[in-house]
Amino acid sequence: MENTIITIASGKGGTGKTTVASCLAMSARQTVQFLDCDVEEPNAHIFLKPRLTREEAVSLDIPHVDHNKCSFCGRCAEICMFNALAVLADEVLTFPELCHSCGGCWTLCPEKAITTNRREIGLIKSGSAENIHFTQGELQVGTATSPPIIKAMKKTIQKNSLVIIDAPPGTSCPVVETMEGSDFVLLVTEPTAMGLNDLAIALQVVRVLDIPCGVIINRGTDVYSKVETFCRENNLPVLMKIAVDRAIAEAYAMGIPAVEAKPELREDFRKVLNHIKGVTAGERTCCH
Amino acid sequence: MQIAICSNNHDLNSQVDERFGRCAYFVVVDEMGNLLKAVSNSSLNSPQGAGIAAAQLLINNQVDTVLTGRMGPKAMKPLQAAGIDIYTGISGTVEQTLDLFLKGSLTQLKTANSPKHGGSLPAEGRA
Repeated sequence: MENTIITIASGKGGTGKTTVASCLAMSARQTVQFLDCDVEEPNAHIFLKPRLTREEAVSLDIPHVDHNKCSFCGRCAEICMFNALAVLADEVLTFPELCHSCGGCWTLCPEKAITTNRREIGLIKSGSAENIHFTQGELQVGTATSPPIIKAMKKTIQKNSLVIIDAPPGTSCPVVETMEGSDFVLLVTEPTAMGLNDLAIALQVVRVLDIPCGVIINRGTDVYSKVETFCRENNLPVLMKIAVDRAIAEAYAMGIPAVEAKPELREDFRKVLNHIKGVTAGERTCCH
Repeated sequence: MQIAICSNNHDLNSQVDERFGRCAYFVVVDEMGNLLKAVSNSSLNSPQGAGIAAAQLLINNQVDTVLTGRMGPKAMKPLQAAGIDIYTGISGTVEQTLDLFLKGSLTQLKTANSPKHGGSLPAEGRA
C-alpha cells in the first residue's frame, strides 16, 4: 500500500481544521501519522494528548563571510532578494533574521568567501497516542519563516502509512508548503459569508497546486446556503456536514474531541477517509 | 560633498519624504545647492529589508550625508559603518531642507528614531 497524505486546510481560521484532523485520526482503523504543521500555534496535542518523547531543533543555513577572502564586489547583496546583506568598502554586514536560506550568496560568491553558520528557528516534537504517531512543529517566537520547519516535518513522513496533516490557516507560503505533495486536501469551512469568501481563496490555491480536494462544512445550520451552492457550482464534493451541536461545543471548550463527545461521528469520519482513499486510488473522480 | 535627501520626486522642488527605506527618490545635491542626481529607490516595494537596501544604494552612490525624517536600526547600521552622517528633521521641499541643513537646523542622528518596519505605513498614517 502506498502512502495516503491528507492535508486539512481552510483559508479562514477557526473553522475546525484541528477538530476534523483529530477526529479523522482517531476514527481511522489503522496506524496514522499525524503532523501538526500549524507551527505558529500548534494545538492538536490538546485533543490527541500524545506523550511527546523526542525533540529536535530545526535550523537554517545563514551566510558567514570570510573577510580575508572577500573582495567586497557586492555580488551577494545585489542578488539577495531579502536584503539580508550589505557590502561596504571593507566590511560585509549580515542580517540573519532576514535570511531565507536560499543559498544564492554562498553559491554565487566569486571569491568563495561565504560559508554557512546555523540559526535555530524552531523545534520538532514527536511522540505517540495509541495508534497515532504524532509530530508537531514549533516556530520560535520572533522568527518569521515557518516553511523550513514544515519542510523538515514532512521529511519524517514514513512510507506505507496514512498521513493526516493539520495545516495552518491562510493561503500563503506556510499553507502552500504544507499542501505540496499531498494526495488530497480537505477544506474545512463554515456556512457563513466569511467562511465562503476564504474557502474560495483556498480553493484557488489547491487548484494551482493541482491536488484533488473536498469540503467539510462544520457547524452547519440552514441560515446560509451559499457555501453549498458554491461547492456545487465548482464541482467540489461536500464529504461531510457537521451540524452545529451544543454537546460538541462543550466538549471542544474542555479540549475533548468531537468523536469522544459523540462516538457515532466516527463512522461518518471513516466514510470520509474511505472516500478520499477511493479518490487517491483512482476509483472515484472529484473536483480535480 | 554629496548630500542625499529623501523625497517623493526627483528635483529640487520635490516634497521631502520622512521615510528612509521607502521614499521614492534620493535627491543628491552638493552644499552649493546644485542638483547632482536623483537616485530612484529600487527597494521601495521590498517585502523586507527596504532600509538596508536603500542604505546599500546610497553607499554604492558614494553619498557623504543623508537627510531624512525617520530611520530604523537596520538601515542605520550599514550607513554608520560606512561613515555616512545622518540628519533628521526634514520638511518642505528638497531645496528648503538643504537650507535647513546648511543653517544647522537639522539634528544629527546617532541612534535609530524609528522602530523596525517603521516605513511600511504611509507617513500620514502614523502618529
